[in-house]
Amino acid sequence: MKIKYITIVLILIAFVLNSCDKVSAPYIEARDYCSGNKKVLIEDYTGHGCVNCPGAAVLAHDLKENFCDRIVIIGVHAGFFAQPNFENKPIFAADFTTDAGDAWDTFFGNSSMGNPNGLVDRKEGPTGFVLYPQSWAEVADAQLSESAKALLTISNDFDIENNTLSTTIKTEFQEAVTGTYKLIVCITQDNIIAAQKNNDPEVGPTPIDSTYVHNHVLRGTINGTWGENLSASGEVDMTTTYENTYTQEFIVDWIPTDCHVVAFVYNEETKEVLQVEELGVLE
Amino acid sequence: MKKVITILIFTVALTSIVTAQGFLSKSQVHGSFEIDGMYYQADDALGITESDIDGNIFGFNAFADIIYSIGDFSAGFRYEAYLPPIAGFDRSLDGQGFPYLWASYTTDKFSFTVGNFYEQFGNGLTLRTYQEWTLGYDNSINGARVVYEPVKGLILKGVYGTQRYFWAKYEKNGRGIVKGFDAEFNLNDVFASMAESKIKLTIGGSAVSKYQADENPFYKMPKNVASFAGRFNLGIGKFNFSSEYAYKINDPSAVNNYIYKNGDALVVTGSYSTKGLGIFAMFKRIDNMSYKSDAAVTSNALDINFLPAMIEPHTYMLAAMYPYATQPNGEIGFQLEVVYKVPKKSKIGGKYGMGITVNYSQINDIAREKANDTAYIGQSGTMGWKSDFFKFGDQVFNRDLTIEIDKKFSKKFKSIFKYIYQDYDIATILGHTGDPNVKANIAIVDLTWKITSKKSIRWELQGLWTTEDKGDWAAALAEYTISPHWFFTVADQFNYGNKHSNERIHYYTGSFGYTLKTTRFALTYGRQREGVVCVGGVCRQVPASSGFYVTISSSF
Repeated sequence: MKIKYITIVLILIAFVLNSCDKVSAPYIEARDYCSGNKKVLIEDYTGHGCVNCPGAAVLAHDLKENFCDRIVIIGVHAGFFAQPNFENKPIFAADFTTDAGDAWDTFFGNSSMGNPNGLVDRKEGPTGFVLYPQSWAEVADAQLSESAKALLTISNDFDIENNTLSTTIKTEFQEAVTGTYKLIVCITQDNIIAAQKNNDPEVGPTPIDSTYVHNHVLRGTINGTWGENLSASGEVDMTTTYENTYTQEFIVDWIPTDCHVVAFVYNEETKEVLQVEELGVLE
Repeated sequence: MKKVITILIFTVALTSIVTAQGFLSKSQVHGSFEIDGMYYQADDALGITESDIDGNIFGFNAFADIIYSIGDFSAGFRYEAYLPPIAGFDRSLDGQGFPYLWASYTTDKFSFTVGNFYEQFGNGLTLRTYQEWTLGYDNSINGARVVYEPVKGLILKGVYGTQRYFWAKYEKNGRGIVKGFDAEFNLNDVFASMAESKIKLTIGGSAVSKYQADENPFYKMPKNVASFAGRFNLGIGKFNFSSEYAYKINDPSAVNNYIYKNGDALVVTGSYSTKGLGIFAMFKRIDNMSYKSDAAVTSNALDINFLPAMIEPHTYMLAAMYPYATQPNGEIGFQLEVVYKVPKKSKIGGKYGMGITVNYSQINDIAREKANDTAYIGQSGTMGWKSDFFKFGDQVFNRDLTIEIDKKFSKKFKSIFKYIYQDYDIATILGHTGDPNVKANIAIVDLTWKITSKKSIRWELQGLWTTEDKGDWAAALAEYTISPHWFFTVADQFNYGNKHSNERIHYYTGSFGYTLKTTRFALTYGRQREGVVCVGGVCRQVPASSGFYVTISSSF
């Protein structure tokens, strides 16, 4: 009987000795993310009534920096927290919602899971598409470690006189893929100053930051909510370069100097984004 | 020859039937099931439009638990379906299947379980897995568990496995692997000399560890994170004391914003009980004790441990409006409850006596200081903060004073009167940043009139008065019961004090139910107000909704 107890105690000691990893400073690791041609789309589902959303926006911005600018961000204002005149407060009169953003929000179920959250390359994980900000880095890291299956090149030509953009997206597949592939082209805008609820004093004034700077705000899609097939059939091959040109008239609020064209190619069935690219409207 | 073969076959068949009958007669099957369904409708007053519903007019949650046992062996499964989950339940539950399958062999000294199981070490500070249907919560372990009692009064437990994460299968380098040991000694059972002692002492200890691969691109993550706890329970006559202290090494996670300080938790309780009087006191301190098997998860899932709640659990409509959710990153508080039964035939007690319960609890933030001069409190990638162990922070998370009097006036008429004062940090607990603490006075009158031996009527009148949040509320309920089968209820909660006139809404409901033995059916029509549902300090947010709600449950 004694041997039995000694065995149990020895097992417990072995368990204790093997169950602790004490980490010593520095706690932050520096890795090189500047090599690689894959870029990753982070859609930050947000709203001006969402107190935790400024923190998520900062996180997305930090990821863009830490991942050597290989992250493209779209701020999708949709759902309960994005409603204009939120909580009957005129300070939240701005309406940043869009038809496309609303449709994506409904399809992926973002706002129903509580903002902030997002999509990373629209990749479906074990519990669905929607990821809370704390998971963005890990999923983006895994995506960035892959090589790009397609490369996108954006060329913009902005007619200042007519306030009209002409943009051409060139898509070149780097490896053979099967399925139907679509291209979505969006306009995003930086430097929009409007009120935002906030609970993080490190980010800005709380509880309402009346001069919050909204960046990467989705203004709309140029070629429909779900985009268009890259080819007539939707099927693609490596030997063809696909060129899609669109024109878009800008409304007054869309300041060309602050706007970007964001284009991404995705698989229609899985919704996963193969590649994303971004270019300033005036670049 | 043919005859012999026929007789042999007949004999074997008969033996099999007899054996099967014997086998079946020793077998037992138990089970329970529940179906909850919601039919949604648009409601202008609640701001719910047809486009919000967008064709998703049904929510459906259901489960069936089946347990088979024969002798020392038992096995079972639970089927669950969320098609889609009812509003307010985590959308990740969407789906159906068998998330809980198990088999167990148990003798006097030994129990071995494979598959899914629930387990708790002590108060749960290092490990507790459980299922709570009303929250849509299940963190069961899928693996193996051994329970061994070598001598009476000494129980050793070991667990190993991965936790349930909605419907997601375990994948290598995905969520962590949990392993743990627990030992509990009941000294009165182990030592014969203490068997008759008035002092009853139990001591215990546990160690739990999780392994998760480091997939984080920025932070150096510990692959193995361990927690340890020691506990005792001491009974001396009418007094009882118990305590548990738990310690966890660095566990940077999304919940604590990737800080590297160690965590700890202390729970101390004391009670005194004699005829007509009960006193209960509790102290609790938690510092950085979220412990999940996936460091990146923040939702109500994958908790390895459980941090016990320390407030009066309110069930009346308005009293439950501001429920407290345990703050795993830090809280310190105490609770004191006195239960006194005024004797029968006394001046105040009258013919039937009178019960008085007073409960006070307060929970503050822990006192935090910068871990060093260069980092702010809670900054990721640092030690987070420093904190004096017994010092209360200035921020009050929750204060609750409840005074309850229950009085029976006659054989047919009894009552409960309740006054509650709540001071509730709505900014921290519900994320209403910038909003001041809600200070609410709540009064409740609950009257029951027994018309006949089978028929009774119960009324509730409630008021909640506050200048914060949504202002004043009034509520009323009438319930007619025909035992043992029927009940009919109408209720209304009216937010008459809302400063926005368009939000002065009646949340009315009408329901009836029928119970036949262990089977219960209930149908409710009306409005559900936006709110929070909490069980044991674990909460889920519930959006406003309108429509029909049906529940069918049974057990056998």
